Amino acid sequence: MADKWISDYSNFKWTNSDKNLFIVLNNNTFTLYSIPAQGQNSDLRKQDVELSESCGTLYQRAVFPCDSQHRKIYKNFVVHPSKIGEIVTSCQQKLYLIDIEKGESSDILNLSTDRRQAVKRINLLDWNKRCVDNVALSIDKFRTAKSIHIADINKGTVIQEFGSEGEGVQSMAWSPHHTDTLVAGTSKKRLEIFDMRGKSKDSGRRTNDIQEIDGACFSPKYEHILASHSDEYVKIWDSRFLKSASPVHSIKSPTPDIFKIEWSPTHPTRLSYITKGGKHIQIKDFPANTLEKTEGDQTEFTGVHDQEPQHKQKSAPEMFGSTISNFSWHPKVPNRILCCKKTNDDNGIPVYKLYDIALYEPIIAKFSPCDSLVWGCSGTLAHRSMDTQDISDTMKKRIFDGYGFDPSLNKKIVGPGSLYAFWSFYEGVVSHEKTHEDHDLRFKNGVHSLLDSVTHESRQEQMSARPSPIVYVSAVRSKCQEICRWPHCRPGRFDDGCDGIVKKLITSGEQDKAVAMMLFYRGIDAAITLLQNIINDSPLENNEKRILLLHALSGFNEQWIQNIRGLGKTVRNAYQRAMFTFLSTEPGREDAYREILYDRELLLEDRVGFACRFLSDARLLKFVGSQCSEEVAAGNIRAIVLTGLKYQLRELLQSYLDQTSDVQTVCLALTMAKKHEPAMDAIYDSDPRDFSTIVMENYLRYFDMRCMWIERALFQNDVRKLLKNKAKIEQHLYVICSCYKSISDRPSLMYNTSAKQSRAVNDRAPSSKETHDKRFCPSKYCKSPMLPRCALCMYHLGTTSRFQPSQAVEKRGSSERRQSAVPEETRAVISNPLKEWFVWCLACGHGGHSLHIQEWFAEHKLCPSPGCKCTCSLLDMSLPLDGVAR
Amino acid sequence: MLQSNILADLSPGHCIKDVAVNWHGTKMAVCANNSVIIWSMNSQQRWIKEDVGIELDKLKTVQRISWAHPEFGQVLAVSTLNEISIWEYRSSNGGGQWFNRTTPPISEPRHLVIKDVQFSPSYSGMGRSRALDLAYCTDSGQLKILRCKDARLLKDWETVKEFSQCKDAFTCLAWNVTSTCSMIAVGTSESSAKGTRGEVKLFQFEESKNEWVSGDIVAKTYNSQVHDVAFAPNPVRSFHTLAIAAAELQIIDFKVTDHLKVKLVNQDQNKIDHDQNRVEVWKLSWSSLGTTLCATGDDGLIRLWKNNNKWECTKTIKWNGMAVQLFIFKIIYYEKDSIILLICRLFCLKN
Repeated sequence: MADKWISDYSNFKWTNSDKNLFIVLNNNTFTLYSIPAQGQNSDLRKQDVELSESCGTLYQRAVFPCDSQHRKIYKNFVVHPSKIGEIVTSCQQKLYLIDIEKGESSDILNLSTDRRQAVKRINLLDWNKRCVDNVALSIDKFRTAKSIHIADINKGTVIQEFGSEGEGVQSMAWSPHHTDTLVAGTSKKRLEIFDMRGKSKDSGRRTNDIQEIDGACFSPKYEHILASHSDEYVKIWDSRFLKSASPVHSIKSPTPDIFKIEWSPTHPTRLSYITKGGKHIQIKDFPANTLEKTEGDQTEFTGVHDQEPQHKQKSAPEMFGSTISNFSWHPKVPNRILCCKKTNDDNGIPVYKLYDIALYEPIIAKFSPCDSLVWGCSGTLAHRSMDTQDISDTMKKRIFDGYGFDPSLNKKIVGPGSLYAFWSFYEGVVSHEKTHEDHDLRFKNGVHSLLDSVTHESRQEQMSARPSPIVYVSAVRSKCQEICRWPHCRPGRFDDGCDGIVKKLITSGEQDKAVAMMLFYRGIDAAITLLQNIINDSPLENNEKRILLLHALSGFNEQWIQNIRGLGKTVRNAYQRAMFTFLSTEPGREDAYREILYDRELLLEDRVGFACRFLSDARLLKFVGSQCSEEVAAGNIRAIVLTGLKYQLRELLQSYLDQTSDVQTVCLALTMAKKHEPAMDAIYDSDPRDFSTIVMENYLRYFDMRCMWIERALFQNDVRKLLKNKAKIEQHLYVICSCYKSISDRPSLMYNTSAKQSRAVNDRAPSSKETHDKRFCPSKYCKSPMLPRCALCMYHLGTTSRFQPSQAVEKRGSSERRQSAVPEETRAVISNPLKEWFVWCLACGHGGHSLHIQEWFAEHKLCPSPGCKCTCSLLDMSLPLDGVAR
Repeated sequence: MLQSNILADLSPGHCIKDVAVNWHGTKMAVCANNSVIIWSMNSQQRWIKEDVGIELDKLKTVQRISWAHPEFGQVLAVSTLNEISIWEYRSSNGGGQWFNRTTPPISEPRHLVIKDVQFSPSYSGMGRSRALDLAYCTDSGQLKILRCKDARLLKDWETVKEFSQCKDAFTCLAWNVTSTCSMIAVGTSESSAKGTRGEVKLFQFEESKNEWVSGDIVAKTYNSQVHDVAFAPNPVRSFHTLAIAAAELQIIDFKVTDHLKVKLVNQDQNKIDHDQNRVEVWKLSWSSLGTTLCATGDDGLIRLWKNNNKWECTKTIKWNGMAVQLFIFKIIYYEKDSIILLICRLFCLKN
């Protein structure tokens, strides 16, 4: 069959059930197919729903072979509104009822029995969805006949005829809301609505002549809304106001010849259409509010959207040579479309394929500043908190852990890694601050700056132990090694502290580095001894490689060097590899130790430390210079040992920030650098806007955004303390008695621009030591000396306490406050230490003790002052003062 | 495993067009049809719907919303197809209410469609004035920057600058205000017989002239218009990061050199993992420090992108648990209510 016929699957219809069944009319055969529900059947791996008997998707089929005698070719069919597999189809003048599941077919109606009339062919069919006996059918335009017939399929008769004689019908559809209403687009360019109950000839409401109506259908939800299409326009009408001939909406399609429109059954404001030869299904959402009409609302639609220019539709790019020949929304599953695509194969023969498409609504997702995600999709709003391990979360955690200006605490908070090394350097800077360093050889200057600025000549020494390479020693190098935490000689002492450092490395679990260090400082024999001790002390399973290493090192001699050369590179552990390279290198060569120096698996400070011991002055300077610029550009925060608090620190922090967005660390580092190297910003910042100021602004903004106001205040206090900032603090508020005398205890802070005020201050200022009764205006000459009363307890402002002292909360120092910042719950529990403070409403000017005011407004809305109508507590509600975003 | 929880299911026929979260993340505005619904976050980190929202005339549809910085109060800009209105929440006796403060005049509102409207992000401590600025762009290639004359009343808005010489339609805009510069990126749409293309244009504030100037084209998109642009929040990085949603996702870093010339940087690090970047992208949003990008696209997935020498999709979220084992087709979405489904690429997404 497939050889003879082109399988055309474009004539299909869903059955009205949620069983995912649809019927295809192909080669005079009606076939009922089922396809798996979308997303459930994981076996469905094929890209399209291939329709064949072998595919297993075949559900039932009814074959009615072509009857060549009667030319019985089915062209059209409609499915039963509820029964699965029951369809009505037509062939020429006859109407058939077919039950696919049973494989039965029965004639219902034959229009050609009436011999007096010419042969009438049935064109369009539609099954009444509310009255399942009625099927509407349209016949060819004929001089003396009405085009629309309503057939009763049980009785097999035509029960009603509609339409003007001689006026054809191009489209026809029942209303899903009313049993008796039918819409039709006639050949005389009219849209007509017929009512079966009318019985009269022209019972319909109709539009004026508009355009050829190629199709029309009612909205599945809005009873008066119907859509029609003609050539390149889709129009939405309100059926009650057809005569006014102004559609509710009018859309122009980018391509002409629309041949099918369909409302989405699950999404009542969604309409889709396709055009002849079109490559897209066009889907249009109408705002529901323009389709709804409240009852009794008789104003006509004005077609608001018509005023706007037609949307400039763009032609979508042509991807395949395929066109869409039919589509249909799934009756129950939202946003599921079955569509038939037609392509031409190599021989020009059309190939039809069905596709099951899921349509996704656009999702509008937004990050909230607390990095949770909210999104809206169609009508659904959803929220999800994220565990993105984002730097902003890390920053918040660090703040609550106390990340600040104490490098040793910071070190603990960040844990092992490059930031650990970073804060270790700062720790060194802080500890060296107290010691008296040589002016030129300061720890904080960093390796690069030390080597660059201090002219020196290193002593060359031969190491006494095997393999006896040449080592270089100088005060500058010693300082550099100290920065890198490598063994170094302190001034006046010749012990380089190697044993201590090695011990420390072993306790922190860096055995390999310890052995390597031993080798570099004490020679191979000491390294072997250390290795033996390590092997003895540690559990067996870690030892295998070390024992091998031990064996390898034990055999060290001239011959060994020859054998091992080149093989050292293959060792996996970076420190062991360095040891082999070190042992097999000829020290005199110009590029000796190159493999170690540029081995990225070794930590930067170790490479620099190594260079400081074994490289000649010229090579060392060159190496450090190149490493410095390289690592700074890469944003490796460990390069702090090279830059120090000098030269390129700003660049380093900038590139670190570029990589990580860790504005917190950068801000802290810059502020501390400012303290320890005050000249830094002045010398190296060429920007008009100081880098550190901008960073500080941004970090403070982070606090503000996350509503961490208390933490921000603590941080700003810390900054001020650290930098010993003595700048005058601006007073924000002034309370002045009516005699212009400041009520505050510190008259020096009085705002004094006007001459009158300043005189008032100068004349009447009591000495600050004088203790005055706070209930009175400090001025001796004031006529109304009593200060305002609390609106509730009626005591004056400044009356000494009548409350029980609270549990020493007022005495908390800032250090305690910091800890109290951690658990949020406890903060709420702390009884209000400000309960005796005077607060007042800016709008009405009344107020009182904060505790009283709070208690009052817990139950009242109006101001407690008698007769005052102010709703003080509701005035400033818009700010998120309770810090909910934390 | 964190779950997505559904906050609201609006009645059918309501289509959420835009969601906006304020600067603190404490308030959220959601627009559907002719109304704007306000949600606020309570102390248990849950979103609670507020009683009062904004309701526009029945026949209008809210397209875009934008929050002003909270230091100006609770202020929303609400745009319909051809009108922008400024709303402010004020509490009064017996609860608060949203008041329509003004409707800034739009020139020729009948012949254009407003595509996007955004308040400028306002940062404290900026050397520049802390004025309330609003930018909108239209499909007739117009970008207008308005400034509020009096932020207390929100009544009078003056035009700071208007760009209207552009031939192409504008589709979206994004502000980028840092301590050192201000700029706006605008996405365009240009259609020809060959198809639709787009560009991202940059408009910058030139401090020496105290004026907004039209800048360079920083990116181009092929096969599609620009659907959305988003600047990554910039905590003093030395470059600006811009994400562009079109037929595929693009992320570019650039610096502005002297004379406002744009220079692309880090191009190697901005490659995007191709496997996850095969669907059309509609909407973008950056996390608070600009480290994670959230992009939503054609296939009903929300993707989170992070940079790890290249941009990698670190997480996908199936929204609402909807099936993913589907055949993904390509949808071209036209802003003005319509979706065009284009069958062009087929692949099975295995999750």
